[in-house]
Amino acid sequence: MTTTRVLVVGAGADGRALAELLALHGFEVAEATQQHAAGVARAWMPDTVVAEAAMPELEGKLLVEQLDAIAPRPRTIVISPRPSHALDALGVTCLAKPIDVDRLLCSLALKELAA
Amino acid sequence: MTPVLVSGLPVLMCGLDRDGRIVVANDRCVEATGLADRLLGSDWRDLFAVSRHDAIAELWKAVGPGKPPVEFEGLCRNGRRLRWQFSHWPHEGGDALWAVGLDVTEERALQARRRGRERATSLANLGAGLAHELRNPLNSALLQLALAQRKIARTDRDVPTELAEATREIHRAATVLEDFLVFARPQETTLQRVELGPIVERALTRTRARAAEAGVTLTSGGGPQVISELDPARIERALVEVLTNAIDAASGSATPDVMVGWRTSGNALVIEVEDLGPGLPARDAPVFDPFFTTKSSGTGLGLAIVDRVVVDHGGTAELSRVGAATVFRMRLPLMLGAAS
Repeated sequence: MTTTRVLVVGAGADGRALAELLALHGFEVAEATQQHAAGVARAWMPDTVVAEAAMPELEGKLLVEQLDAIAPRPRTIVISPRPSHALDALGVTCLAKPIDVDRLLCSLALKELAA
Repeated sequence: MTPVLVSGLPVLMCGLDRDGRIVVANDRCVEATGLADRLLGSDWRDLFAVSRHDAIAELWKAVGPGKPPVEFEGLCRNGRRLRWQFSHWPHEGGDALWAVGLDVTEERALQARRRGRERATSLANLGAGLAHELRNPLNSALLQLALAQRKIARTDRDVPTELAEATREIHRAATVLEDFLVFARPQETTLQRVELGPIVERALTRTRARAAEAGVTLTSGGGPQVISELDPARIERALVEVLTNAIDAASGSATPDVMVGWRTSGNALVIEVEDLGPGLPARDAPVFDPFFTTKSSGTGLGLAIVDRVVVDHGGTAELSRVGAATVFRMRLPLMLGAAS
């Protein structure tokens, strides 16, 4: 069984904390800034991309457009203080801050089991 | 030259002599001031709630032949707010003032209400912005706590329970924010002709898990088939809040039952939720006020949200003690008619 690869997008302290936490839970983790997210995703082929977004509708849409070029498109989770259902249609899960860490871990792990 | 005293129009008209005594007035003037036959000959200044002794002298200074009219607005002793326009009146008995007034009581009240609403809306928007902003630091704190817990768990040491406690508290703060956002969001009520039964049913479905967890039996006594003009989503939300409250109250009591039912009463639709919990600490507890709560984990916004929804529907909400039961009662105006 291969380890689930998670790309954490967001350069701040939260992104680093999340990346470290995921690594401690046995995920294979990479970090990227928003600017380099698509490039890293193309090269590294993560299963899931977890991105922070202050404006989820705008940034989430942009991210999906960039990730669309990758086949299969990695599963995308956007974490935002202003969650929006507008991303549902794009197949993006939008989680409100503060996120339920256990739930996020569970959901990522479930993906791992299913894979 | 006496200007024509207009009657039948909502315009007040009167003439004042040099000392400010009313020498002529139309019937609307009599009505609005409430002075009846005492109006003529009385001092115009005495009409006002606040003494305006200097008013006449000032008016005389400002008003004169060929000069534009002077505005004056004041609150009368009878509570009416009158707006006057004064102009020079070359009266046969010497110069006088001619006053044309409008009763602006309702207009001003309406303006005040509108300003109040605008202020409330802008405050709500500000609050919502603040709530959204607070989600960022809360998220950071949660992540750091989770990381600390995980790091300690990897060592031989026990993870201090305080960390889990802090995590719970942050989640509680987040719940307060969520409820506040729901409460603060200016919401339009979209009335539709709908049947009440399915709305209650959906609210019950959404609260069954919580009831089961709390060991509470949730029963619906049902009610007549009623179709009324309601905002189904908002009524459902309100019912979920009420049911959640009742479940929490009933949990752990000797008879952990919650009953919901509805009936029509005159032209009102009455929805009741009853529990046999301990009830309220005091009869006049401000349960519908934001942030009032009796629960250690409550946000105090549940019933405030309920009240908002009910008031927006033109109804009333109350919580009362009937024997051993605590009864929440929501009265909504019943707009009967055939289903469309």
